[in-house]
Amino acid sequence: MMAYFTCSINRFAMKMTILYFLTGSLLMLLLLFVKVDFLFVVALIFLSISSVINGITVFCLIMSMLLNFADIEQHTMTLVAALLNYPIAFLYIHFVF
Amino acid sequence: MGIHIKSILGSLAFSYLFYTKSFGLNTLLLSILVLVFLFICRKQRPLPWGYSLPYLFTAVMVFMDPTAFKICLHFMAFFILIGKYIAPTSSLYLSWFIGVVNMIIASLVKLNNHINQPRSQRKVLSKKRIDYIKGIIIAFLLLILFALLYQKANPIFDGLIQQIDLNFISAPWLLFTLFGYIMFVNILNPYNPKELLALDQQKANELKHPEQLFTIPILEKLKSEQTLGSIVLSSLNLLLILFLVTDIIYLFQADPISNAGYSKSVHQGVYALMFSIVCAIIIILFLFRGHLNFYKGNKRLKKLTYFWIGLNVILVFFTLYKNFQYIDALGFTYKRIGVFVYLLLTLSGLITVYIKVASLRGFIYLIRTNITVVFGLLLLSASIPWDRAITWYNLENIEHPDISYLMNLGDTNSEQLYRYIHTPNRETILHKDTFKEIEKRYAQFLSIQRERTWQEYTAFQIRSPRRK
Repeated sequence: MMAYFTCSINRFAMKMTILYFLTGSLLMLLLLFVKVDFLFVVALIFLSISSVINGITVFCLIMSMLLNFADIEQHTMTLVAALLNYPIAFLYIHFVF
Repeated sequence: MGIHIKSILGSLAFSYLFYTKSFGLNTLLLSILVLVFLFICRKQRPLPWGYSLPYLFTAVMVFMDPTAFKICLHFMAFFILIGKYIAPTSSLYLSWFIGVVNMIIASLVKLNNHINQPRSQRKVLSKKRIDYIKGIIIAFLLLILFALLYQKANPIFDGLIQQIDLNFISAPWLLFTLFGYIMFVNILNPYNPKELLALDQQKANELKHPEQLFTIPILEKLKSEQTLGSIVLSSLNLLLILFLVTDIIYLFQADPISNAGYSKSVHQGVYALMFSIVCAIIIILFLFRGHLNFYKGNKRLKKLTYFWIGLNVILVFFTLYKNFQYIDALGFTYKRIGVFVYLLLTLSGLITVYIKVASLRGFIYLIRTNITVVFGLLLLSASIPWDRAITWYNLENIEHPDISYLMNLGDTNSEQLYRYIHTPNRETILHKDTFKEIEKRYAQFLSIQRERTWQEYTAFQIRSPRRK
């Protein structure tokens, strides 16, 4: 599926989105039954860093979409995927706390 | 009827049904309208009946019980329907994605394609159509002008004109209607993500058999993977057997289990189960990612995998039993229902992993099948009014139900709680404040129901028409 994303920023954003999703899911599963303070701190740091980087990526994607309007389709696909991480994060927070 | 006329009609219906309104009957009516429009356009694209029915079903469920979960599921069914309408053969997860993206950018993609086309190839409006548009605009302007003139000349006509109330038109209303128009244009004139669909079609569920025989270095690598995998799975199996034995002892011990004990045994058990199953599935997917599927000496590893899956199925049933015990003693809660949902999904995950290993399927098969199962299960769960069902079960079957928990659920159970406190001998069990709170909650619920406009009607207004 990565072949679909021809722009480098989209490929980067998709890889980051998948990485956040997998790491977030793993942390959530761990936090559900290992209630250790250290893990909570790790999860919070991960959440803060990933939210900021994801936010910057989304901004860059919007800019890139405006500059390369011909590739709007793959840019929007990437944007939707990147933004989908936020509701998933909220759902995971709801599960853990 | 052109797409734009249909979209204008659709947008007017959309703003009439939804502007400053909450979800209810309007959701069902709009769903019917969308399906009628898609049915009318069936010559261009066939209507996917298999996905239209779930869409309509979720709309009925929103009408019956408009909770956030059912509204979200209705949107999900809508996006899947649009995705399947665009590309009937695409995978379910991709259909949802295509549906969402189509609703955002279909018009922009079309506009972009139009701009990038050479002038000679661009579609131009026919002269007849331009004349129609001109005629409509001129007639509309003249109608207003002459109506204003005749208004001065005839008092009866003046009264008739005065009765036309256009106060509902405002900037937010116009924006809302424009949003509805864009939505309908994107539904009726969707874009076609050909490249994405071609990539999806290329991904077959079955693994491709290697065309050449394995070379000696590959065989050596496969042998070491097989040994490694066998050791890992054997140790996992042994640990799981030990765990199951201790679980049997725990389940059949004579000591009564405390409330905290139930919670710990079910929830912690489920969380541990979740993590262990995910980890083990990752190991299996890693081992059976490629050539090992076709390696003749993989029988031992396959047997160990099947054994591990079988043990996990037993573990799922043990946890199901514990959850049943838990519910029998303390009643239903959303968390306990969540455990059932999770266990059913785990069972489906285990079955699909078995099929993947046994009939040489790829990772994409797991994604496609399990997403379909999740969607099916969500649809099934939408048919139950959970707040009312939990309240009914707990009030009917539990000796001392947790009233404060039931009061924290959605307000649709207000009537049940009201009836419960007004049955004889409740004064001895419940505190006075609880009585007052439940009565206040019920009064608030009735007041909210009375304030609903016909667009927002739910099954409650149908069930109890006198109190609407």
